[in-house]
Amino acid sequence: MNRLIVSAEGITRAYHNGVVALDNINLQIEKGEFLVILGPTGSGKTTLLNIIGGMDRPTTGKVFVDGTELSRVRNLSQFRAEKVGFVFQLHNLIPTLNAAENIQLPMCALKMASRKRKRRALELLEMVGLKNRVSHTPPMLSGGERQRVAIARALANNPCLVIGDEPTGTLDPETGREIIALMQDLNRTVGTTLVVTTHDPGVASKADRIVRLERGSISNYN
Amino acid sequence: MWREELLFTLIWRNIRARRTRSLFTIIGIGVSIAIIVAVMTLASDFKKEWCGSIIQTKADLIAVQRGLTGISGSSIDESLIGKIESKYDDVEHATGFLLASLSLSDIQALNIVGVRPEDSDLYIDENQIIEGRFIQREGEIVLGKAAYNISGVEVGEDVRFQMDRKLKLVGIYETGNTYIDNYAIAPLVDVQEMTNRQGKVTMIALYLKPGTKAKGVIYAIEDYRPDLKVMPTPEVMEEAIPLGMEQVDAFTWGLSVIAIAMGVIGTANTMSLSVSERTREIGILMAIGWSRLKILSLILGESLLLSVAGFGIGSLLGIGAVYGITSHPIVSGYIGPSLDTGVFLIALAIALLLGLLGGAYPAYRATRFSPVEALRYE
Repeated sequence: MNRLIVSAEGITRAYHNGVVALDNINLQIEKGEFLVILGPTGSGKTTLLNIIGGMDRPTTGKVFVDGTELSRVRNLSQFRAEKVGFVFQLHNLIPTLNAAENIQLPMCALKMASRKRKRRALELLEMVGLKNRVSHTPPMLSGGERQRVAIARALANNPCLVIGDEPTGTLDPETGREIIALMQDLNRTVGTTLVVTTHDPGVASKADRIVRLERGSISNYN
Repeated sequence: MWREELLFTLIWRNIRARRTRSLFTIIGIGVSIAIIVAVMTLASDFKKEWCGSIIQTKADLIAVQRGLTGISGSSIDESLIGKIESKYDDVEHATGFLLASLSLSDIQALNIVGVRPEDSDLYIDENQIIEGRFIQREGEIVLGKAAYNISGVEVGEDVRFQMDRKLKLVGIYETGNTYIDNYAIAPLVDVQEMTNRQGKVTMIALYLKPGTKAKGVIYAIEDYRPDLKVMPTPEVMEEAIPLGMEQVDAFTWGLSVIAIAMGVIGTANTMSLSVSERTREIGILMAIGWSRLKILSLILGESLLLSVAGFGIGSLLGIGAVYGITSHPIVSGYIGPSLDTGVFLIALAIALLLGLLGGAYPAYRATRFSPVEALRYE
């Protein structure tokens, strides 16, 4: 049985201005793995996440996610809705919608029935410990709570891969640890593959595996 | 429950979140719609009132001079009335009407229908006389209620025209048609004399025997007198629309186009600003799997909702404007404020078009965002 959920083969991402953000990256991620990508600002971490998350395409190379080669996928929106959950550095919730509604957004992309969406949103809010924040809008939530809602949203469609681009970057250390503990817990209980970028060695220490990125190349595997 | 409920929630909340801007946009669209509703209603009322004046004859057929646009310039020999009446058995009765406009003073004109006194009841029902009586002989005149209100003349007094001509006011009528109520009815002979059109009528009204097929009569009369055009009364309404109405129509549409352009520019400006401000939000929606079509629906939905709200406000403003304008003494004699559903349906269609056009480019631009670039947007 194929245990690989992500396989990046020789991917390069070069921009028109000559900047090479990623240079011949080869990376395999197994199902259920908690992988941390470490690296300084500008090392290409976000570009790598964008490519394996189907938000950007590599200049050369191939990316397989759950057995699908992304360059052959015509509808990447549909792919993202079905296969990938995103947790961004800035929680990136929609400010006019409440917590439950924000969580329903990815389900809405898959045309899930309203009743089913609402039920699932409540389940997820309970899972992230925010059962009592259903009707709260983002401005009414603390930074940590917002990030919990973002995690719940990322899990909405049961994706095979959850990507976190510095999910603790704007949080205080204590809240950051709580968020990582929650992600780790979900990784263990739900079995979702987690790929997270960070500067924080504390976060990295929780990972199953660490990949170090420098100037667009993988410099070290742990 | 409805699958797209969340899309509509988001549309509604986005508009509500930017209350002041949304309100000004709705008012802007509303003003455009109000202009369209008011101008179209007034033009349509004017046409309706005019057409009603023809229907008032209650004739089955109307004969006018062929080859003219509109009927006001029509001139037919009065002698033809008798000839037609005696020649065609199917014609039970025929009579002539002469339409004219006469000056009461340098600034005041009076529209007059010249009728044969014995036929005046064919134009005005007895129960429509609200004071005095019908004209019975030469030298008399009856005024419509609206004409009476501005004439300053009482029943029993003389209505004085320029060139020292006068007719005695013997009655006042009210039909409910503002146009007709702004007319006067006087004996045909008097109107012919005052307009130097002796022996002429504008149109011949034909009353057919019950069960007669109008088409046969039309063919027969037009064959007999090719210089006449004979039409059933409803068709005359269209023919009768005066020459100037075409210009009124052109003006109405011209003004509507300007109003639409104003509305489109206002909506496009608001929606462009909204899309720019929410670039990151749109990036999030794209990242979590919303299709370009859904993003398009979101932005177009917002602009359509603004335009529908604008239609609501615009309709109310338009109705207010129509009542305001028609209550003015100069206009009230010619147009009564009657609201036509058709005008509101056109205005709604225009509002929706305006929303689509105004939202089209911002919506298209939003769908062209790359989620990566949009998420980087500060």
